[in-house]
Amino acid sequence: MNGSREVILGRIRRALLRPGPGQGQEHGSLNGVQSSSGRVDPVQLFGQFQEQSERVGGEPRLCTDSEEALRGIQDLVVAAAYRRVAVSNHEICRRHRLAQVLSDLLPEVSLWIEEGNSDSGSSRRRNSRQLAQADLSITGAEFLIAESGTVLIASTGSSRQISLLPTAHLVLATPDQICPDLAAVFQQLGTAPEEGRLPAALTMITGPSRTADIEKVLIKGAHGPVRQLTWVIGRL
Amino acid sequence: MNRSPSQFKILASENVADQRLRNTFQSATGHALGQRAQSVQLVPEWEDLRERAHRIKEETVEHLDFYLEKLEASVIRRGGRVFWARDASEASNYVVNLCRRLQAPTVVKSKSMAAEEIGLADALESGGVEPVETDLGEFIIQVAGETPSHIIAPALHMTRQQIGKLFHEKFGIPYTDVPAELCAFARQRLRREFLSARLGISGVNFAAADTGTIVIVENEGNARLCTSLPRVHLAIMGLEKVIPRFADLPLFLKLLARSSTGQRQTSYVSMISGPRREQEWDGPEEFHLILLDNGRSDILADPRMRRSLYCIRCGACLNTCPIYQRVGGHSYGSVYSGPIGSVLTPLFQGLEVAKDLPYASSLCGSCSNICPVKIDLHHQLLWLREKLVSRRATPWQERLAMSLFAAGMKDPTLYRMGSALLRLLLKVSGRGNRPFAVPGWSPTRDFPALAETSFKQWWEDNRPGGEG
Repeated sequence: MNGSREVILGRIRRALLRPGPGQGQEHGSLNGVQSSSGRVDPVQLFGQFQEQSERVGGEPRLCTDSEEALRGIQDLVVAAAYRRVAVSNHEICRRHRLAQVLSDLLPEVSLWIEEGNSDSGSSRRRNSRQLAQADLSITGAEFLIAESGTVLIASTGSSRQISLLPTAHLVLATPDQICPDLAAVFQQLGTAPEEGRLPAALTMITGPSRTADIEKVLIKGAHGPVRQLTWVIGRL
Repeated sequence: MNRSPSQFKILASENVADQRLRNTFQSATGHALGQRAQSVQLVPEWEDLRERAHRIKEETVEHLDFYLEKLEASVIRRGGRVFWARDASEASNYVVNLCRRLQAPTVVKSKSMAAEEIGLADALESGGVEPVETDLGEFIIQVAGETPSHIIAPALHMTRQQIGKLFHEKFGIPYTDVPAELCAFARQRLRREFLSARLGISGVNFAAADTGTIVIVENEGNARLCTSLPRVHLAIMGLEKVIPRFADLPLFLKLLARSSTGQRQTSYVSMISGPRREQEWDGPEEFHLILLDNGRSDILADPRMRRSLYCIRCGACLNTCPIYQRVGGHSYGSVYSGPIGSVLTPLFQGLEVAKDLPYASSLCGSCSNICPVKIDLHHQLLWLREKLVSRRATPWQERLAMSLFAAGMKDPTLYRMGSALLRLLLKVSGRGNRPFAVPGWSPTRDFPALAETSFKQWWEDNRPGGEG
């Protein structure tokens, strides 16, 4: 709060005394984008997600069960010769006991496990340096958006930096998390999410980090992950 | 490199003569327009969405005080701090003081037109703080000591060879003009800055009043880094970036991504509501939001120009503008270029300083047609011209010509006499039917020759089944 607050608000109020194009109209009932669909066939939803994610350079995949996903991770790590892998504390990672299973499957890989929240700034900084060295991170997501091939993650599910600093980022998800479009996600988030439900950071990720700032040439991996993988585990 | 909007004519004629620069802007804007058209085509309700967005912006701007107070309350409720800045120096001082308190020798900064507008980077430097631009394009032009030439692609005017040479000279790395290698170098270099900075500065694309959520749209991930790693996050926004509801975001995000780059969704959209919560792993401990006026409340005071505050900075009007395509962003001598820049710069910096900008338009209306929030940009430009005329700020020759024209158009006899006189003058001057040279017009364009007879005369002679 500062002195200029009253000055600025005063100037705005004086300015608005001169009626503009829409003054006096009540637009309170205006809504934004309507979700395009009611119930959609899960096969179709995943198909759309896959198509859109691939369009922007993402690597989507369907794994029928936990076993296939775990084997897939093993293959991925071996094929790309990843040496450092970070696993988040997201519910889905714990459900598949990733930390334990991966240390058995990939004994030569150095695993970094995200543990409960770290209250001190110095330990968070240490974590940042660790994560900046990681080749691959594995996290969960809150929603997948079929229309654009997007995953939505929350700062309550895992740290912000684990999906950002490593070279590759793998999201594990379930078929019921796929929504047709952004409007449908927002309907689930609630029209005006109350205090408790809205995390400090909600992030939508659509494909790998990119830039076209040099002569409009598209480059993957500007500041964030070079690879963005999304694996949906389960039967559609 | 300091340019002023008062130099528009000089800068534009220099840039228009630079064939390479013209090619760059033509192809880049053409590419962006193509991408946009493709993605807009897939949204049959596009016109309806534009109309909704226009009405939501109208509602917001017409009740700006209400929504700003609501936004402030929501941000504070979520543990953030709000600072109202009347002008550039108030905003900059706040940031410099914050850096002093944090004892931060450097700050990492992501792209923000508002920060650009107030010259925040320069203010930080004078305050003894090193601002590190982290968007690749911004980083390049910061190293080059340049200014942005496009809202979305700041280094659009530079070639890969120029950038390669620049990095080679400034950082001593081996010369390369491979974009991916240049980008990889910047990534590596900036990572160090991200990991050590205590303050991250970002812009704001939208701020939802009901939840206090600020939204940042980007492709590179540098804004995510700026808002995730440092201990403190400061966001700066022009007052007009507020939107009423969190639930309005799907609409605006859809319009922004498709209009600016033709993407369905940018790589990253961050929706930030206050500082890190206690149960969360990481994120800044403090969140500061600067609400910047800097002339916006003056724009608001003119009901006709008010709509320019609906702008969501997508850059589509730049891409589609036949003038921008040819003269490029630097000609406008201001951070805001293209049609929206030609409206905002005179309003921010004064009509006298930027009196050529309202004329940097053919009034074709392409900007108004493409604008995702339906700002009637070409009308705004026309109204600015009207202001200039009523202030007698146009050249006396033009005023004289216009008053003669007005008199002639009102009186058929005067009109006939005038056009006869003009023909006679041309005949006796020995120029045949070629009009006189007019400075500012004829050096670059041919003046069409006058017809031998006036249309009225021709009609009387040739009217089918006429008097004869």
